[in-house]
Amino acid sequence: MRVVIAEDLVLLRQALCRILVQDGITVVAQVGDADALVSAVVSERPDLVIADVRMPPTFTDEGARAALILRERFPELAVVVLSHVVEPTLAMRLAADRPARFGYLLKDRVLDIDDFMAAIHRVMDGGTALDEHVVAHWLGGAPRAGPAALSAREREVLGLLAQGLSNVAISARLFVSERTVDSHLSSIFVKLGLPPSAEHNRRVRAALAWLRGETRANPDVRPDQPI
Amino acid sequence: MKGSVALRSAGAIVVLTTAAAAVSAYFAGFRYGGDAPVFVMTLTAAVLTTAGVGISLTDRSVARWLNLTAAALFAYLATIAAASWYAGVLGHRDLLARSLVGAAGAGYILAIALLQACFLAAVGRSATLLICYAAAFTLASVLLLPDAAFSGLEPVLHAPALESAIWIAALPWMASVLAGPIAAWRALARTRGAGRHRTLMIAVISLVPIGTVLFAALSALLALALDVMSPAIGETGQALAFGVPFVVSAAGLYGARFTGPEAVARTVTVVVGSLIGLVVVALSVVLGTWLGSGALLPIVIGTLGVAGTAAGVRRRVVRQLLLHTDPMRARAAALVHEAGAGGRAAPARTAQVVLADLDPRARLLLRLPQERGWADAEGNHHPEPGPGTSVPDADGRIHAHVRHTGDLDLDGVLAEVGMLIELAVLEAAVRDQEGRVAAERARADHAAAVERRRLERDLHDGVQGRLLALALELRMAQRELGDAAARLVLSDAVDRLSAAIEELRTLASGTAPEILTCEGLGAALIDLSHRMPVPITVTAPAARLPPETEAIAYLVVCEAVTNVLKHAHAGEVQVEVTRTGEYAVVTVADDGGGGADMRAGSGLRGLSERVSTAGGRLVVSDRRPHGTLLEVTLPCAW
Repeated sequence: MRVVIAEDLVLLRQALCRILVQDGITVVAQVGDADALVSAVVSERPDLVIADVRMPPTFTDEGARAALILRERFPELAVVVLSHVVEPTLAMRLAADRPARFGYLLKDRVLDIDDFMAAIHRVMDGGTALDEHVVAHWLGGAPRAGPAALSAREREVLGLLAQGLSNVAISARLFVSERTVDSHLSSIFVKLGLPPSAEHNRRVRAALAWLRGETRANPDVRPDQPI
Repeated sequence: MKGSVALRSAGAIVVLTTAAAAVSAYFAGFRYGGDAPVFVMTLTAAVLTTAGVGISLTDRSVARWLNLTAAALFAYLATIAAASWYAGVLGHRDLLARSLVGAAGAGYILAIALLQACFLAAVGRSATLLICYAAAFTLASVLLLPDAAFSGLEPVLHAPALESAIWIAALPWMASVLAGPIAAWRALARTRGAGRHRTLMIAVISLVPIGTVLFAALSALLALALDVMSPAIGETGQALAFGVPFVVSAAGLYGARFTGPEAVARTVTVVVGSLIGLVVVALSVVLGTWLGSGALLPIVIGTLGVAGTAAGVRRRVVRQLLLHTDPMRARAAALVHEAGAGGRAAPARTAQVVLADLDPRARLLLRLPQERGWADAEGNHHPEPGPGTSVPDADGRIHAHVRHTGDLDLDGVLAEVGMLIELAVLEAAVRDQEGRVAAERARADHAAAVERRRLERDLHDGVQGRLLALALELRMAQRELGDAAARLVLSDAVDRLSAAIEELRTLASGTAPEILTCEGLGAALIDLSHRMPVPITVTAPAARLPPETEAIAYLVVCEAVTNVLKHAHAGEVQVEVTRTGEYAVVTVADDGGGGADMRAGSGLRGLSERVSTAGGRLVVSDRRPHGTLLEVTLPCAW
């Protein structure tokens, strides 16, 4: 697996590089700004890009903008964006309606190396990795759907799903069986009026779209109707 | 100047000598009314006043007529003295005696017409026709009218057939007493600006002759009705009716040199005062005679009554006259009255409305302190006042300006809205000050925000990144080490570093958001609660706390809520801020798992240190049945 790292702070970039290398990943290029990142991607054609949101020269959102361009230009390219601060709106904009092969994580997450690597692999395998702070923000701001409001457990499951975790990972995180997670998920999708789907990526996308308030309840499926 | 004084003194001596000659005939035994001391005295006073005023007036046309009046009065006085002695005391009956008696009988005709000429001249009307007629009539009277007081004395021309014609010819002359008032009151309608006050004064003064004649006639009628008519009363009445108008009119014309409402007030005081005084004197004489107790009591009572009512009456009379003569002022007064207390609450707007009523394009500009230009009623700034009328304050300094084009006379209107404008100037100054303070604060806030963003960026891209890199190195070292104890130490170190990084992030991004500085703690906390994934109830006082207290309190709640979200798995959080005297108490209560310990979490420990640095105290306790209560006490006086 071939990776390009874009991070202006050399110390951090090297440390990141070492973690990846230890995990058997090939780092084909390390760059310090957005322009170099785009060049490196064009010349090296990596499988994954890890990019800092803020980079020289203005330290605002160069990395994020480069990530948008790259995802547009290379649909097969997996992108993980790292940020010092949680910017939920930016994260959602980047994920857009194409959360597959995308990750947005707080930089501190690298300290939990196992979780971080799991997220990297998940994104590389076509999945999603959204920072829990981002999901929590959108989950907090999401409209509460009256009597059909999700139970606390269901909100938890929805949050983990939106982060990109698989059913197995969710069940491991919550110490419950996979079957239980399954039944929670189908209940959530009915309550939110989302089209049921067995495919993980489409479920994540639906969950994110709902969190952003884009999907309105499906009038054909009343949440309070027995199924 | 000396010569003029000498001339005046000589003139006065001649007049007084002539008067003495007339009175001496009375005391020599010849009494026919014209030489009665009371009449001669008022006539003398009239001569001296009209001549005195005539000399000092700068208005040439009025001065000329007034001097002519004085001359006519003096001629009248002189012929009275001459006739009394020559025809009366000495008993001559020749042509000279007949001429003198004729002149003494008709002398007042021309004098009274000349007084009207003064009024006409004062309002710019020609009096030639009137005077020609009066002169002709006087001459006819001198020649044709006999005087009953001089028994057996024939007129110069003996023509009894013409006598009735003379009486008919007298009617236009009598009506001419109305010439002055009519001309003056008509002139008011077309006079504008400062001239209006003068015209108003002339109009008021011109009523004096009519008033005095009416009062004299009424008192004579009263005397007849009470059957107390006597030569003394007759003489007094005649003296008042004839002499007083000249004295008061001359004094009024002197006062009319000045302009402005004050001069009008003074003139009205003189006129109303003398008319009322006349009523008092006339009634006192008649009633005193009737009561047989002398004139003392009625005079005292009357004078007190006049003194008591004059000021109030005068103010009302002056105001009504001013409003009557100035339709724009009357309109302004009505609008101001209509606006009432509400108008005074918004003085600039009310004054602007009144002015715009006169001229839709007129705009009131209020001078701002320290040469900061001008502000209109809406608070817009104008560097220059532009063309128009300046408005001075009580000390004569220009404190406002009415911008308008063309010839707009605002004197009367400004007198009505002056108080509003004064209030508006104060209001504009205060508003200007507030605006400057707000702009200053906005600039400072903006600078602080820019500085904060710079600091935030430096922290993220510098310190935070280095710490993170270091923590990552340690983490990798921990994984590579075989020694379990060493791994534990490194793990702890990474945790501490991680906590430090998080604290740094809070510090850099969450210290004082815009909403906290602008709208206060309550608004900032409600905003925070909307951004959190669990329901948060916020209770906070509406009043602002000191900025330092608000900043710490906000930080405390941010940290506490973050902790709750991270560790407590709470379903609900309650945040409450109360202020008790010198202290503010912030409580954050959740219904989560509880068991928070200051020693365990570095977040809580860091928070506690921050609070004690600010002079406050942090206490964490478990709630029953479950949950955590964090209570922070912060000082409010810094």
